[in-house]
Amino acid sequence: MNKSDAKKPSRFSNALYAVRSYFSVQANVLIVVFAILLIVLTVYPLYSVFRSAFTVGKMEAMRYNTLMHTKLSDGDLTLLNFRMLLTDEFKFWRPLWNSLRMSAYASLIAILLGGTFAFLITRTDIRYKKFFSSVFIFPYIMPSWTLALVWKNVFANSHVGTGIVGMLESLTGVCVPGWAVYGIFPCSLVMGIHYAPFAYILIGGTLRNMDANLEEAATILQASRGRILRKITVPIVMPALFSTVLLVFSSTMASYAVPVFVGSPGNFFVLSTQLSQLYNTMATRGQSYVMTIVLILFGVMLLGINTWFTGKRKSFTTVTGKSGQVSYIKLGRANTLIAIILVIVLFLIAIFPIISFALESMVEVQGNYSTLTLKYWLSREDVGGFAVNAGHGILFNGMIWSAMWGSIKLSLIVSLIVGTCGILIGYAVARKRGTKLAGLVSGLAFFPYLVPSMAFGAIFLAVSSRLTFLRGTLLLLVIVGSIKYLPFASRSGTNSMMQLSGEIEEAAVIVGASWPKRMLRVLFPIQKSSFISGYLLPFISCMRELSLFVLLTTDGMLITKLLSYFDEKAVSQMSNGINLLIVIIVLLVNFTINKLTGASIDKGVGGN
Amino acid sequence: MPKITLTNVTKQWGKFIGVNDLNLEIEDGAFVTLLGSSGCGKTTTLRMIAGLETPTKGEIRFDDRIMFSSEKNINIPPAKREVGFLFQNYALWPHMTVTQNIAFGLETLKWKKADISARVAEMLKTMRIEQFAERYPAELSGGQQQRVAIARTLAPKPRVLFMDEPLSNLDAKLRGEMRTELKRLHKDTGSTFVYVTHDQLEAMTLSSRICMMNEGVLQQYAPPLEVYNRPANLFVADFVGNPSMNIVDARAVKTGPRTAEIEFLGRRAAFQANEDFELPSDKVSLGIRPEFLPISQDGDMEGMAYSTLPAGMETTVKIKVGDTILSSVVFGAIDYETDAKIRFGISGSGILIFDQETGGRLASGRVVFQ
Amino acid sequence: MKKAAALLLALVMCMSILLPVSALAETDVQKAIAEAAKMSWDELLAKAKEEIGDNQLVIWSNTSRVKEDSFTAKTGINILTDNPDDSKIYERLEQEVGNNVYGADLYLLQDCFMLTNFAISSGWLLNYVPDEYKPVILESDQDPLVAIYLNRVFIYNDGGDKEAKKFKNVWQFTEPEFKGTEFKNPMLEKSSLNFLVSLTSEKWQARLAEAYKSYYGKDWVSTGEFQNISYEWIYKFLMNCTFVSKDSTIASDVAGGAPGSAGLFVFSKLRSVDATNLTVCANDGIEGFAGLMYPIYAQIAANAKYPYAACLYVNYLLSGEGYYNIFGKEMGTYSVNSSTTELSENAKKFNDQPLSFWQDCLVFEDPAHVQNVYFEATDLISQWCASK
Repeated sequence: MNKSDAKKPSRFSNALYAVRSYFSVQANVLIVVFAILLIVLTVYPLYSVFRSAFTVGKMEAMRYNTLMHTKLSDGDLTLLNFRMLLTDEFKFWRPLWNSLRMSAYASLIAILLGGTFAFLITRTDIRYKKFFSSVFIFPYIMPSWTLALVWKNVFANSHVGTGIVGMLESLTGVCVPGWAVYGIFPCSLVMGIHYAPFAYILIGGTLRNMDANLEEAATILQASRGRILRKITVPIVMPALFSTVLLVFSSTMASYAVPVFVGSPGNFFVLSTQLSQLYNTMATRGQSYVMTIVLILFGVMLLGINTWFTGKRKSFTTVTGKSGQVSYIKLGRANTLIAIILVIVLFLIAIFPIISFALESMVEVQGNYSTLTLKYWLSREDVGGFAVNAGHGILFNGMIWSAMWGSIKLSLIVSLIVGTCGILIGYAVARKRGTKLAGLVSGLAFFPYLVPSMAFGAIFLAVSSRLTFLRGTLLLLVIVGSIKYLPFASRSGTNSMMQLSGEIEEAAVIVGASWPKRMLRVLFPIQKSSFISGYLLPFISCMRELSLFVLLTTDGMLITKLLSYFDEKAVSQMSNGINLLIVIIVLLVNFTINKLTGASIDKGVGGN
Repeated sequence: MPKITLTNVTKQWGKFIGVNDLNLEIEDGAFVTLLGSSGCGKTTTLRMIAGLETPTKGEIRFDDRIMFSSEKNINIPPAKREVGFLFQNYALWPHMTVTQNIAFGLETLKWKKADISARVAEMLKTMRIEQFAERYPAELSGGQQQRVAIARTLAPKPRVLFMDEPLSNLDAKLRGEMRTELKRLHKDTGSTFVYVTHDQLEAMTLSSRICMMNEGVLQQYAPPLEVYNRPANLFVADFVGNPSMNIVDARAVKTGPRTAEIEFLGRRAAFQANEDFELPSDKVSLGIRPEFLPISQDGDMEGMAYSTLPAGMETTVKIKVGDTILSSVVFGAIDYETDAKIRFGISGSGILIFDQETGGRLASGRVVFQ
Repeated sequence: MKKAAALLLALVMCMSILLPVSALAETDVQKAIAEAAKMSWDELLAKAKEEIGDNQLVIWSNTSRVKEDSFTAKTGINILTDNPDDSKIYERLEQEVGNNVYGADLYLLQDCFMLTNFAISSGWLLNYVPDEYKPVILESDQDPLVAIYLNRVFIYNDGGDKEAKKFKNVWQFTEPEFKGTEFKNPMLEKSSLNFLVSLTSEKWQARLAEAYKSYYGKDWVSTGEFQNISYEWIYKFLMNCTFVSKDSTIASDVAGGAPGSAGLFVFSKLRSVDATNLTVCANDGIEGFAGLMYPIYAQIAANAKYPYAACLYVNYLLSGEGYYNIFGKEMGTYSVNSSTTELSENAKKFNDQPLSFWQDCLVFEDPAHVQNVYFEATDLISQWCASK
């Protein structure tokens, strides 16, 4: 009796044991590690945003002192930034309202387009699936403004703006009204199309994994197709739907290029354009941070709704390890018709922009196709003419290739880090589902998404002037890129992990497979496709990112910097050519990975 | 093969108690069924023994080896417990072929290549799935997937095999077949089987002992026939048996150490118990299995044929007595006209008396009409 | 107590180590600048090469033209450049020089207001004018030193009719009849903003009043709505114009647009579009003004690592050779070196004119006036821009 008493562990060793046994579960280790990491990496930016919103800088102090006769000096605390912005109808409330509308429409369009497409591909016997599926993601691979440009090129007409005659008018004589060329309509549509692949990937992934029995069960109960869709399919893809809305809505809120391109000329101004104007003026920069806070709050709200929703409703495990048969809905005679419609739509949104890049890179005078030349690709002399240092034709241009390599290197490293973290976060969050820490981690992982790229870059510029060893290094870009793109991967990682039932892993636990082995041999291969899209999405985004890195790099480090150089210098042949090159490289990477692993960004679940 | 001992095992999630102070001893080579309705804690118990779930309190031992102890801070991971687990949804890895699924565990255990292929071949043969060796799970039917899952679980020769409602996804015919095979497997392997089910018939037919659980609390742990014949309480009595036991409110007054006078369904009768018993109050429930209500012209009781359910081999007759409907099972096919008068008796020494308040069994014996 | 004292001492010591040695470095750079100003090209070149060795001279510049490599060819000094657009360069300046972290040696930047009030007043940037060039540069362009002038001009599509003279008066751009003149959003482009602010000076009020009378046939009378005639023009122009994000877009929009469509864009963009149908309003002798002229300033970082090399680059910029190599091959760029007025072949081809021609018809960035009315004016303008 006494003996066993003496053996009884002390309180301390009890606590130690509790800690040890808590950390003997990998999911616990991961969730704690990521919680700490994310707090460190996101709290500082958050702190910077808030500090800048509540204090005045040198120029702001000058402005307030001049205009409002205050006696502020650099670094003083103030609420003026809030007061000024929140009482400004034109700089805040109207653009906010515009942003909200645009984002809502864009989300809706993305979901309708991507969702319908996902349904057609995963649930019907539509023709040419493989082709459609890989082409549908092109609009996401291309920078969003390229679609805006296409929009303008097609629909501009003699009654709008400077009266450039667009393709539609020159071919058919039809002139669309001004609101269809510039304003909220094209903005929402272009953003919606740009992000539709998102919806396709996320919703398609779930649909593909979903046991068709679930739908068939309802068919047997004699439910109509519409009813099945409404009552069975939609609720099951709801989590994916919410993730889509979350990403598309926030991305659209923060998007800058498209509203500037097809919004501003129609006097349609949104929060992001106002934000960047306020940000670009040092004297109003504090107000831009107030706006950032508003954007963050909206994101947090969306995130809250998302968590509330997925927390409240049962989460749907769609891969149980019990395989169901997939049966496709027969489209019958509609098949060809739908396929033709798809071909036309895809041609417009995916193929046409690429062709136009190619053509524009091969004409001497913009828009004049009688001046075709390969000079900008093949010349071994400076092609910039008298004005610009453009270097040789693209294929022989050392500047372009070294910048391209810089971009590829950065994107590869970032995507490797981000993709892996995304899977681990997804694993940890799925296993610790419902716990506070899991909520914290998935929330924090999303946070970087809500800080505008420009501000994010600026914050890390400040970091690097304190941690000088980071300055101008690839490491800094890697860190910034990794944090910024974590939301993509963490979403896709969480989504796919949530779909895997715990039994699948436990079956491997029982036979003694170690954690790395379970991850590598069991979990990863099953959800290979969605995980790989968790790697590919950051790669694509990173390849065409500029505003995030612009402050942290020097000339020639990244291809996008060179792209904007040629753009600014109006050597459109070079900028179009580089754009084409970026698209081709991303497609090549996608294609290579597809061939090597059988998985690709557009596939939900591969495995066979 | 080990003996599994659970001592005061409790599992709690916040305020919700999944399993409450469970004590259980599973003999070496036994086929124990954890039986109960969904949410009763049976799966949790199974997962705790396997190590997939960590108990809040208590101790779990395999023979003398402590697998888990909240006091001594011991928790052996599932892989080191040398157990097999058959999941409800099979949890076959969709990206591996049947062979790969079966071989995976053996590879993990670092078996030699030759041994692995020999064992896989053996398992394929045992489970009669040789022809599917190179197929993917998605290309198999439910029954075939089940066989693969069993093969995968058995391949590493686990000391104990845990099964979580493994047959619930199969159709009735297949389920019957698989039951036979499981029982056969149990004999052939000699392993300890712990089996979770909500199907009392499965529990009755398969197991050497049934562990009946309700709301996290152990109700009875005994061999199937004992559970059937001498259920510990009303809950068990009601759960086990199909059609279920007739439970009739009654009044009882003791007339001797083993005798009492009972009044039920407007009739008086003497109860002669098989052993001495006590009556805490006069309110009791009478438990009569359907087979103890033989229908015959000279029966002591009378009722109306409420409905007749012939199943070929036997017929269940629902007899209405006053407001109560009783079930009787008779051999062969008989069809009574609805509302026809029926006479029946109460036979055998297996009639049970339960305490109405606690539900506990008080006595078993025979009912004699004076 | 002792412990606390020791701790404090240690802290102070740490701080003193961490404290920037900027005071010292600053004098070094200042000294270098003062010396460099007196040196000849060859002396400075020798000094710079000795100082920089194989390292790179770092230039942050608003204009990407510094990528041009004739300087390296001539001097053997390597350069590293970056061109953060618009105000982003000030962001770097603040983070780098402001924190005494070495970033760049030479800054080429725009926006007189920010330069003076943000950078120079903080002591982050130092002015350098080589003695050699002092006589040939206007005093007003010497402090801060203007490296180059660039212009944005009203250009319209004449539909092939070179005699159209569509825009005879700058007030036309405020009339609904000529709605949609494309203009770079002044809130995103400081040279556009400073142009509008400079326009409110008395000089341009008078010019606008003259043009007003000539166009409407009556004197301008204040309605009380606007502070002066310039604000009225600005307001009406902002309401009437279309914001476009890039100069190259404006250029191609106008070039490909209907006859009569117009834009205010960088002169040099003429060469990147089919300019056959484009007419520069200044050549039609438009009344009022024909566009704007803005400077790019050259300043040495207070914490420059290679001040001599930076000075050398400025010398090169100011020299005729440097100007032609870096800027002058193109049109729409004008050296402050008054002895460098020769137009390049290309400039002649597009009918460019020397700085003296533009002096009269373009609104030059006016640092003194901008300094006086900056916040009042920009606040109004930003409000108007947002309320479009």
